Amino acid sequence: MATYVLNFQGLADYAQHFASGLALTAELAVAATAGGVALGIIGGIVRNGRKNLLYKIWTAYVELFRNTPFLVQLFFIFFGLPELGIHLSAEPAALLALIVNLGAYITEIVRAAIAVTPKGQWEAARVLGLSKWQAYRKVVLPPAIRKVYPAIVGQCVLVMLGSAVISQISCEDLTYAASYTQSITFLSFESYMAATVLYLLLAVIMRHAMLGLGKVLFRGN
Amino acid sequence: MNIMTICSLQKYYGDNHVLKGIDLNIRQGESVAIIGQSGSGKSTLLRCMNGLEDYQEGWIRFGNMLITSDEKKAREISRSIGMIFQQFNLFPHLTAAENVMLAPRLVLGLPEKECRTLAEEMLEKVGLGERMDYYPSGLSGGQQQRVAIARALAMKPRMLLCDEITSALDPELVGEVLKVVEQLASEGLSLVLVTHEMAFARDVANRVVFMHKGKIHEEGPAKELFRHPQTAELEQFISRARAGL
Repeated sequence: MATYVLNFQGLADYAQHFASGLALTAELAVAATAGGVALGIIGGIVRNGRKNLLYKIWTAYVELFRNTPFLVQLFFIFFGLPELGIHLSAEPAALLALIVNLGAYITEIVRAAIAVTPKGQWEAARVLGLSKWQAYRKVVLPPAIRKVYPAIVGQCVLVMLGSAVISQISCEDLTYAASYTQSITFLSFESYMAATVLYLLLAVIMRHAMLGLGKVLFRGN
Repeated sequence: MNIMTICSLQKYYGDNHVLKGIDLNIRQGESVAIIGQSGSGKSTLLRCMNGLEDYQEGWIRFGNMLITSDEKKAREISRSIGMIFQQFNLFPHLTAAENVMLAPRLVLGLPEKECRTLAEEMLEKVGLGERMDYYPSGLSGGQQQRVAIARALAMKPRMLLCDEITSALDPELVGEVLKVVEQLASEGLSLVLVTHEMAFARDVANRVVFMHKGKIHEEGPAKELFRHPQTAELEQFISRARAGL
């Protein structure tokens, strides 16, 4: 019976690759979260508004990005956009793909949260003279986002994990580091196990950091 | 002097003819109670008075201002007419003081400090000076409704609309809210109250308007009207309300 002896020592020379890969994955996660959540909040408002052209465009965008694979979206942005005269290098292309993908999902989460706001909240804001925008910003959005905040956090973590495929367009992220290492050392089990642990850590830290931030942002009931 | 004039007001919800030609004047400093069965159109009429509902025919004037449901008018209306709701509609993520400060800050553009002082003053007035920094979830229904009153008063309205403001309260909490409203009436704020509290309508309102099937069926001085109803419908309504008390 053949026994397999784990050899993590063999990865030592490639620690630097893992570290820089982890850094890129983390950086993209932070930037994608910021961009995607902002895009999603705007989208949630647009999708609760009048059924004008912007509403229709946004609806089409949400449908498109929620019903196609992320990898295909990434390829479209990296290989397709140059055909339209928009040239992006790998990392900006990956970030853009992550933001628009996350933005589509967050749009639907925020849309639902806004839609269930009691009518009385809108009416109270209106009779006090608040503009529509002031009502959104000060009255409707804070409790709405608070309500769905755990779902938003979950989606952001999911997108961070999904970012593993950006190594396909040669972004040197954590998955890329693992692939590269194993292709040279043939220590595939160890390489991907290291990547798994690092993804797990990153996901747990990200979730707790975001939930902690939520506790600071949302007071009251 | 009339503060509000309503003339031949007609309102439809689709095919449903809700208000069938309402003529009503509200005088400066007067408190008017609107009573009537559910579905008689009393809340709808009240909600037309500050543009929360649109109407199809007739007109409503407040001073020189034509009241319509146009969103662009809401800010101008809010400076003159306040409203309190059955369900309080406090903002749950803001403290009592922040609820009161919000509109003066955003709509009137008063400086933060002044808003805080104003909130203090208004909450003091409704007996909640000690509860400034409580969130609505930490307040009883009666206290929440009093915060809502303070919030409306902070805009210094000339007229206050009250839409069944005690209907969602436990019976033992009704009194504290009505006491505040009574005080406002005695201070000369013009009030229009849609209410199920017959005793309150009788004791606080100068005038009572009885609505029936989308029309003003009968109106008159409060005590007069309750003592000597002129129509069978009002008589029946009053006796039913008594039986319920």
